[in-house]
Amino acid sequence: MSRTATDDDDVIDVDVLDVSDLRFEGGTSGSVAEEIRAQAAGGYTTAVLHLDGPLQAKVTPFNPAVVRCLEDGSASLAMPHDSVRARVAVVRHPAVLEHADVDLPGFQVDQVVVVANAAPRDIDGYVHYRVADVNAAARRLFGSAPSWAPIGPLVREALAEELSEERVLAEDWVNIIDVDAWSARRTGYASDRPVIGRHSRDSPQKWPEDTAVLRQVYPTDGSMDVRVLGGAMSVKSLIGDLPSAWHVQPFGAADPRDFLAGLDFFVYYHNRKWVEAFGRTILEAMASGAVVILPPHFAPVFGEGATYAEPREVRGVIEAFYGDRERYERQAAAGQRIARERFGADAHVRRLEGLIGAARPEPEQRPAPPATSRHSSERQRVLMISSNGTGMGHLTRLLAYARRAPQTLSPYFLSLSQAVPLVARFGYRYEYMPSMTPTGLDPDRWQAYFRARVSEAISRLRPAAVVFDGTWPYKGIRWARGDHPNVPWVWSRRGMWYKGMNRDQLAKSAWFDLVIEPGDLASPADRGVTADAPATRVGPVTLLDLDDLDERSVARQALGLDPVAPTALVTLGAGNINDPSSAIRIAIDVFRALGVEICVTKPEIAERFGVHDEHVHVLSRYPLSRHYRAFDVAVSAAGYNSFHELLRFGVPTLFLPNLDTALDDQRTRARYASDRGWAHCLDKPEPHTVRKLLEDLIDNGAAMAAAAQAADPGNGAAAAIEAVAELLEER
Amino acid sequence: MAWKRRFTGWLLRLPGAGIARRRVVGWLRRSTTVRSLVKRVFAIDTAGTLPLDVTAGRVLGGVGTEQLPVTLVVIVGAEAKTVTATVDEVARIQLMTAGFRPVIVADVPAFASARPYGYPFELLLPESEWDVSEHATTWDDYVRRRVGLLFATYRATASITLGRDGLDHTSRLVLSSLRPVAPAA
Repeated sequence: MSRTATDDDDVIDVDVLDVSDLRFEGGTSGSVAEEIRAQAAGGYTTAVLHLDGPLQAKVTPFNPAVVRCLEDGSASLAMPHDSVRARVAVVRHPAVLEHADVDLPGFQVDQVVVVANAAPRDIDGYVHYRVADVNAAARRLFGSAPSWAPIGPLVREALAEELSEERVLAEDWVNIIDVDAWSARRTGYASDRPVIGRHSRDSPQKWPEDTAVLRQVYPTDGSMDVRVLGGAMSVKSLIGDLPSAWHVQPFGAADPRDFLAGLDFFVYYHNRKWVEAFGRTILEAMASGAVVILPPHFAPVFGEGATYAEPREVRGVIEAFYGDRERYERQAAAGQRIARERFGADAHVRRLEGLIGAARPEPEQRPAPPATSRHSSERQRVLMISSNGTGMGHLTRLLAYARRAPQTLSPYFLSLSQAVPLVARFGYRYEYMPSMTPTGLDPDRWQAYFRARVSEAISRLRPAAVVFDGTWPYKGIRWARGDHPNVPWVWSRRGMWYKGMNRDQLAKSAWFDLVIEPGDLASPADRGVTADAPATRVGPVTLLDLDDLDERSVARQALGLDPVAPTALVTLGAGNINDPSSAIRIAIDVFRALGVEICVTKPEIAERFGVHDEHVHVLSRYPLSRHYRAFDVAVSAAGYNSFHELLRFGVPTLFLPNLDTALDDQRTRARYASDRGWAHCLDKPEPHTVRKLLEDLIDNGAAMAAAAQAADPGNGAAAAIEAVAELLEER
Repeated sequence: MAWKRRFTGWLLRLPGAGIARRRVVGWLRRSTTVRSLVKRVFAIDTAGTLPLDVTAGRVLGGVGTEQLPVTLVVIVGAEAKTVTATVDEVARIQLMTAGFRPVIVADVPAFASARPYGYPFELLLPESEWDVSEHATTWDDYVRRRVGLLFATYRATASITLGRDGLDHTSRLVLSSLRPVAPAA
């Protein structure tokens, strides 16, 4: 495209002027966008002109696919008052031209082609457009009578009644598609029963008008999993309530590529009075790699790319394919091959060449073909979602999994914790969304927000699986699952819940395809509801293994500590639940009295930190456990991470369990360790008892820590992420 | 419903119907008088109400913060220290004017900037780190969807957009002018 300076204005000089109502949600706009891209790739320049058509009464933005073409420079947007010169104007949807309420005095086009995407009238006589009026509008706006290009054989047949042969192009103007952008990775059937589905606007014309036919092609008895994108109000008015076995989403609720990727069969039957001239969604399903089943009248359009059956035959056809995987894959491959051969970008370039000749050589002015935005890596992305606990346990656990992920997986984080930038230090990308409390949002609104954020992330990142670590699965998870039913979810939830608590949350296991329980060294004492719940149990999970730790001298140097002085670590939780200052004070005073150097941890996300003592080293490092060999003794809360890191890495410890947690039974965990002689524990720290226990740890702690290490079954992080990988392999 | 379609078909076949339809429908859609009439008759009010739930943070005391407009403070391309300085200044303006509830939206994880004030902080992925092979969309589309969702979720009725230098004089004036006032009589 070029703008040519003239006496009083600029001229938009292009090869192709695409004219349509660019607000259409469905196939028309999608086809315009595909043709623009094909034109750009073939060296043709494009401008688009929007005309308000008769089908969009409400104020509506342009279709996003068209907007993307405009934004990436594949086309320019012409306004009615512009001066435009084009070798051909291609009008999509004759009614748009017929109803155009504009004048285009500055437009000069060499020829006009009207693409007839529907017959002039339906079988019942309803008029979509009048050929004579469209011709008149073309002459008024562009100064010449148009050629007509039917989108398929049915429309060609209908147009033949109203147009002389020379006004109709010899070849159908079929829709085109970028098969690679739609092709989905399929390793087996989507479920243990056939998953069939359809994608179309929800209007009575688009659904069978007969209840019996409807039930024949879209079973309502649960024998097949029926998924609908585009709404099914028309079905509701036909048969009452929607069948419970159906999963219905409104138009635009999911990315069609994701939706189609989850189907085994695309089954499309419509009202017999409706003349479905082409059906772009059919082509999309073929490109996706689903087996497509259609009424026989589509055969001239899609040939051997689809299978054709009368409604009564549909169930048998599906069952036959489902029982013969090899045959299924042959048919799916035929669909993709036909899509590529008949409906690829090359086909469009060839027909343009036939109309206006070769593209003009202006390579330096052409936009580069837009880079594909599809995730092309062979590695499967795993979206790691952590809730926002009181500390960093959820995030740390997911990070432990990520570090041990096989090469086939690519972890990516979405966290409700403001500590999430830490994962970048390990080379992972991340996103953040605030949890409910800091926003002030009411619960229902926040849940809806969570759903929208997660669904958006899944659409954009296309993960193979989602792993959620938290003890409280949000309602939004279930909703987001519904938005992307093909993406499996894994729930990583530690045990040791307070006895009898959170049973309702445990019931949410049903939302997940796999439940992983990171083990607990104190699990024999676990009396919470998870203790007997089904789960894939792995060893206790810590971010680091013993081999990852610095040697003592290196650790002390890294922390700026005296190389030989006895040194204690005081770590009493993230500080967000309660105020641990008094416990810290007692510990500091006792250690000072014992002549021990003191280090206190300051959590990365602490809102306040009440330790101001010049004799205390304040540490804020992640992961601090890398330096645990620097310490001779520790005073710690008994949260999952601290507990297992201190015992696994052999630090003699006095546990002061946090008794104000919502769910984590730290007291039971700490007492179990104490009972087994691995550590000491105190519910209520008093200076004299603290002193007595710390003195004992200084004298005998090494043997206690060794006993704990001897009981450690090893880090379960690798087994946990391996379970995720196996889940994906099974699918 | 079939009779409606038949009637519409008959109507459209009348002589001059096409021209009349184009002119009349176009006029109806553009007419402010008709829009005003429809609004009165059907009592359509898109103004809505201010959200009761979105936090105003910890800076303002007293009741009535739910009457303040939620304002997105969008900071893109600035360094973390600029974000921190900006949020500090936003807090001071909020304290002085008691005029808005800020939601901080930035593309650097400067969470600590908003934490002392109790403001919601929303993180955008920075354009400089956008990898087209990772995302099935452009950064522009991503930002449009994210910010659109923020407007809808927080029901923000105002926003200011800041670049690498943080607040300028105009944005300070805009922030200072957000306190709801009774319309002139």
